[in-house]
Amino acid sequence: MGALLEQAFRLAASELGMASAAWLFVRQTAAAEGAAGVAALRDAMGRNWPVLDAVCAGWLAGRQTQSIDPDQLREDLIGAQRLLLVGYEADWVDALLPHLASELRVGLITAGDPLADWERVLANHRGRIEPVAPAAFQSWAGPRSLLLSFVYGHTPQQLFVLPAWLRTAGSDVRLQFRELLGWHIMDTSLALYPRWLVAAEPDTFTVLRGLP
Amino acid sequence: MSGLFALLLMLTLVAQAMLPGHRLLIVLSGAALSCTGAALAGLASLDRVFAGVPWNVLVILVALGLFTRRLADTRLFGLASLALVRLARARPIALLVLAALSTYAISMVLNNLTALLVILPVLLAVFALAGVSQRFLVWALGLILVACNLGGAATPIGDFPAVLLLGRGAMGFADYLQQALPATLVAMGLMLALVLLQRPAREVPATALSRRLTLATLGRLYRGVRLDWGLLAPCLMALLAMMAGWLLLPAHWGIEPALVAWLGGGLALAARPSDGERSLKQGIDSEALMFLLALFVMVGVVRETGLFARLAGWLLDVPLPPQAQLVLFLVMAALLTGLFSAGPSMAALLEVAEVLARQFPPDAVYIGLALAVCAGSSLFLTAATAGPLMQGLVERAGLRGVDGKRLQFGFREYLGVGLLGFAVTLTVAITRSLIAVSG
Repeated sequence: MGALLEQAFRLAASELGMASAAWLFVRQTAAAEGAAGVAALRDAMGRNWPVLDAVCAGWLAGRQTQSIDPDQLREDLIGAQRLLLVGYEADWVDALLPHLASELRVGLITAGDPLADWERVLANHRGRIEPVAPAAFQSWAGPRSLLLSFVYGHTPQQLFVLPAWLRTAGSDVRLQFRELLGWHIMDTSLALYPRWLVAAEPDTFTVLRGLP
Repeated sequence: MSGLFALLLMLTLVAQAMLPGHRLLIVLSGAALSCTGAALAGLASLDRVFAGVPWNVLVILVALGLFTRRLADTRLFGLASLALVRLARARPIALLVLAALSTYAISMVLNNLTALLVILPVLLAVFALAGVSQRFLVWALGLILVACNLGGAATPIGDFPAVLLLGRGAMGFADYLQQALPATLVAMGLMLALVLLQRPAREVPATALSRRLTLATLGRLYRGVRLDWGLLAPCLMALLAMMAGWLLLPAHWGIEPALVAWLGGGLALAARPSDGERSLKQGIDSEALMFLLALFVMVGVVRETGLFARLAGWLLDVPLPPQAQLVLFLVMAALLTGLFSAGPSMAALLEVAEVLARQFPPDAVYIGLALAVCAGSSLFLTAATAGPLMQGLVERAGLRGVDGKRLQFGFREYLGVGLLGFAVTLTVAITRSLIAVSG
């Protein structure tokens, strides 16, 4: 059964994002089986999915609601014309989009788990988010362009981000965008080795928001 | 001389079946050689061979292909599949039955490839979320493939063999529908019952939590997807207009089925001109089109030799009762389709069928042939283009079973379901034709 649950979580994470999928699984498990179910979910899958492990741990410690505050990015978005997402977290993107000016173009680099059906991901936003091929992301560069990625955890020296961020945020890219934004989306530290994520230097971002 | 061109046709068909990665190059080369041979032998000029190509069939295929693409763009089928999963509450057997029946229904209007492309992504996502066994995967997907073929044979616009009958004027739209639809429904019902008797879901470990997670996740995956009413409305209008045209227009008006499809497809494309223009430039399945054109050319050259008429004569000379001769033809058609796929088989065998239709009631021959070709399309995973497409989508989904092992859906796994689908469909085809002959 563990293998099947892992497969289900991987599919959910590939299209919703790891944190959004983790919250979904935790909420549903808690509603069906209570705290014991969440603890069992953590035991069964936490080792392979550190973000899920952290959400389970937070839920069991009493942090049972997601905290999503798009206002944390408000200042950075002033005057921007293009916002390019590197990575996708459905809950955070859904919350952010209504706060954006309608003339701000929003793109998503369609790179990640090969299981993801990007057409389905984008269909949820009905044209508001444009697909951007990984090789073409620099066509979105400019003095009023922002790159935004999600940060899942940190140590004093490192941030844990999606691999796509390291493939995007080279030193040359730093000069091509107005800001390279990092948005912390976890309010619980990752207790396990962050499998599926990579460690990045904090200075690969120019601005970090939502630091817990 | 006729044997030489028939041999070239056979060799080309065998080569394209063995080397599917080069099939277009192979059939186009075969067609070029056929035309060259026909010209050198004084059999037929290129003009004459091309005049024999049923262009109206190609027009129907292109128009309906573009139409189904626009219809799929409305997201109707993705959302309908989601509604089915909710209706089934993610229970495996209910899902299998509803998926098979909806595939049958969709294939009646859309071509098989499109039908699978709109249904499978949702279904495979459900399989990944809910978890399935190897046994369930094979029976469920196999049944869907057979349902796809049966749905395609149920209407004159569902799949190539029926389109060919319509385009060649062998049968009218209403006649075909009236006779093929009940037969395919019977075959579908039989197939479904036989599959359910196998208890395909007995090893599927469905729990209340896994069903809950499946439905909740699927709901999130489609949380913002909405039906595009602005596109759906003109598409449905175009579909209704085409159905009315095929069913009601008097023959003496000269508005043939291909013209109806052309006008209907054009209406759907014109609903959003810029998207329609893009569909025209990018959405035509040129591979299928070139493949069929090459086949028609090769079959046309063989027809010029008179071989098909002689084959039909040979069939009628076999020392068997007339009914047995018809059965022999249908079995041969089904087996040839299993080996060479529906396009080549139907293109060649229709020539023989037209001769047989002078001896037997035409509908017994034509409907029997369409159903026999449908049976052959279900025999092997490679017999219809939908099979390899399904195999590719399943591989990409990377499904795993309870033990963590990767689930397989390939030629070997499908064979059992394919044999069952073949036997059921062919039995219905033969029975129906014999009833029509005796009636």
